[in-house]
Amino acid sequence: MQNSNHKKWGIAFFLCTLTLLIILGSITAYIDPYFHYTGPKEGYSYPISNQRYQNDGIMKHFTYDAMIIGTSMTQNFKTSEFDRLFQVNSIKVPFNGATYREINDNLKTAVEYNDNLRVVLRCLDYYRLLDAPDNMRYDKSLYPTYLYDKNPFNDVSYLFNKTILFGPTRKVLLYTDTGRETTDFDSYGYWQDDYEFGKDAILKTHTRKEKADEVSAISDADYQNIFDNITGNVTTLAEENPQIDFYLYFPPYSIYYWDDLNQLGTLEKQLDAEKYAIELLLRYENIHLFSFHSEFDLICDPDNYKDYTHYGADINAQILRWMKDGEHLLTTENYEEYCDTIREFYTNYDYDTLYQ
Amino acid sequence: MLFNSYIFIFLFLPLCLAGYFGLNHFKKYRLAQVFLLLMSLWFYGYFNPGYLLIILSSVVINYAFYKGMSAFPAPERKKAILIIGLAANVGILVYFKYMDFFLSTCNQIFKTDFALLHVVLPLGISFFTFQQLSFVIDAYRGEVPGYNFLEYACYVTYFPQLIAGPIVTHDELIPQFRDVSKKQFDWENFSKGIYLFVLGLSKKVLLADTFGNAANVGFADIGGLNAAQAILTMLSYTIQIYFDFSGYCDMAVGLGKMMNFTLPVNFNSPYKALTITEFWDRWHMTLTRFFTRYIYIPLGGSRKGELRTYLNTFLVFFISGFWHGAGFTFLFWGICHGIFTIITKKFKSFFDALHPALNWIITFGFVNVAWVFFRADSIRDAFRLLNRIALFRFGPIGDEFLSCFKLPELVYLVKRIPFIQNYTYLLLLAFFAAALFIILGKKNAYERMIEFQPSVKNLLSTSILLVWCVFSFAGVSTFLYFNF
Repeated sequence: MQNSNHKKWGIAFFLCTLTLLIILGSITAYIDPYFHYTGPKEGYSYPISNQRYQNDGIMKHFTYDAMIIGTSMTQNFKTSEFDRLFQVNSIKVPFNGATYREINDNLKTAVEYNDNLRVVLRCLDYYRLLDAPDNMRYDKSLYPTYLYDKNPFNDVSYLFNKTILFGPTRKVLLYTDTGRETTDFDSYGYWQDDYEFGKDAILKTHTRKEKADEVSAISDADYQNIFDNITGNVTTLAEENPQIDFYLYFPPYSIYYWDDLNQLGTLEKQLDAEKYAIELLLRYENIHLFSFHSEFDLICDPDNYKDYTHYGADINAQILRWMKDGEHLLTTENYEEYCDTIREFYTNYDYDTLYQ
Repeated sequence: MLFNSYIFIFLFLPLCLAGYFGLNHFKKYRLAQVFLLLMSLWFYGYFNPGYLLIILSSVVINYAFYKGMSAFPAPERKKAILIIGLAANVGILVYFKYMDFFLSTCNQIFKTDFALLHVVLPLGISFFTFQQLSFVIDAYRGEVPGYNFLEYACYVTYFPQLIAGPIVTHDELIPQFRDVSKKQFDWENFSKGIYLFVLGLSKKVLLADTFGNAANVGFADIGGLNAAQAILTMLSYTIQIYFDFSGYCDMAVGLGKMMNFTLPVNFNSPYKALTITEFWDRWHMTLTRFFTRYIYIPLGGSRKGELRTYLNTFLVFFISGFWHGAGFTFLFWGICHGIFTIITKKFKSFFDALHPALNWIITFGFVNVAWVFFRADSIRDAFRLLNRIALFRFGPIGDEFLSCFKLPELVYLVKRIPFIQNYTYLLLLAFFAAALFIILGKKNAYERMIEFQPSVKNLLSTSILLVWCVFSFAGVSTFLYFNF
């Protein structure tokens, strides 16, 4: 009798727990705030703001034939402008601070899940050229890999997760309830209106580096590193997917960034690194490489920047137009002249005037 | 593998129970034991398969010592094997846990330049080493009957107690492995076991981790704490360590119960203790038992005069401090407990004459202060925190500290209560009040398990608690991106 009561209790406990898990888990599974199973559901509005959690689902389940991908340098792009200029239907998936490796891993996902992908606009952050090819921005444990992989069992971390249930899942319901629209890609990650621009703003967050005693020269190991980083994280994917046009560009950081290089004694090294990277990138017909480092007026005007690297939305818009018109496109014919021009400018610039 | 993980609850545990009882059902007893051993090794090697080599070597070596003593029963040979056995176990522990501490201390004091080993500390090494030390000593004393290797390996690696205790002795577990009456699935033991497991899991996941976050916030910024924040930080850690450790042991005992095994109780409401001696009779009881049996009594216990008793007491706490961690903070914590225990023994009549409430305040107060040394990164930091309290400058509680208690599900509920404007302080108060009530005012989890009778109330509460815990295993990472 005793054991029979315990048996009933045990079975009821199992059923009760299972029912609760299914009911609560179904809420997130159905609403799917990270687009893990489908794109946005009809009748619901989705806030899009969590890059490392939502971009994967966006790439896998949205309808698009073009994409903008990169770091914070790409956040102020408006997909509506991109669509109009390039006659595409695009998404924007920025990853703040991401390395080439992380961006490439995500691009691979997009390529794998979307046969219609034809145009990729990607920034190649200049300061990451010399990164180790496997470098990631954050510790491995922080990434929600259960969303990225194909293992359905580890989805428990998504479905049975109170932070998601009471956070993003509930937020979709609130968004919908208050009549708001799903975040569009023009506004996703757009930060232009949140900051001040100009010299004062830059100098609030930037301190001039101490002048290094020695000048660093690029080494054979550096060349190997660049080779591994560029081939492994940029060109291999382009080579394997000739049907996709890759519009790549080096984002134009401000003159204060160049001052950093100059002060640290790494300016020549960085210019050598860029030249070698260009040579590696120009080997592929479907890579259209742009660099705006020769837009000296833009780079030397602090009003274009909120800090020493981040330019405003007008520059993003200008970049789109330049790309469309083929301006600043590097080719095997013009790249050496371009390299000489920028070397001449940045090695001779009077950086002290920036702090006067 | 951790008990508080999806893989343990959804895969490992069901598979383990089904496989173990399934094989036993078909009277494949030996196979069932092999299965249990393999599951325990999977459990242990889940995070780092390299650990398996360490634990298996340790098991093989100690079993060899035991067999050696049987093969060479002459006292002097037995003693030689015992000494080698003790040295080997202590040596393994020293190498993995203490070597870097010794080397860095040596480098600091003597300005030497020994390179640190940076060895990864194998999980639970302090537990399984002590467990096997007790086995080798018992073997020397002739208190170990004939065990085969499978039984011994199963005993040491038995997953519920492997990582954080209780420190089970061979005579508590191996006879239960052999008991045929325990090999059939039993609904009563299962329901009691799952009940205790869920209570332990809730202590760990819902309470210990919440207070742990708060303690981390406080200890990370000692200089910025006012007296109120410093007191709450200290209290948070006191609550965290109790719920964390006792919760884990409750889960271990509950898991054992599900498999019809009785594991020793390790915590018996220690913060209810009125004296420090009573505290140690209630806190980590199997460790206290180990020290009493294998260190305190062999040293003479209280049989060799008052001074020697105090010295033995001090030695036990000194070693205990060191066992808890390779660092001066742990050592200092052990020394404090040793000294306070000696004081209470010396002035026993004085303490006995005090009102029990005052005795409780003294004991609980001391335990709190001592935990500060246990938790702090350095003795200096511990004194800094205590100094913040002593300065007695009170002020508001910081947002970061308050936010530790703002669990999303509770915020959701509290926001629905009318007339409540400021729920942040309310949640903090609710957590502390609930924790102290559970610690001091309620029966402990083990007592509740013993009295467990199936009812709709405990069915629903256990089920809800388990689901609540499962939903708390994973969070959402915050990607800090300084300077954009």
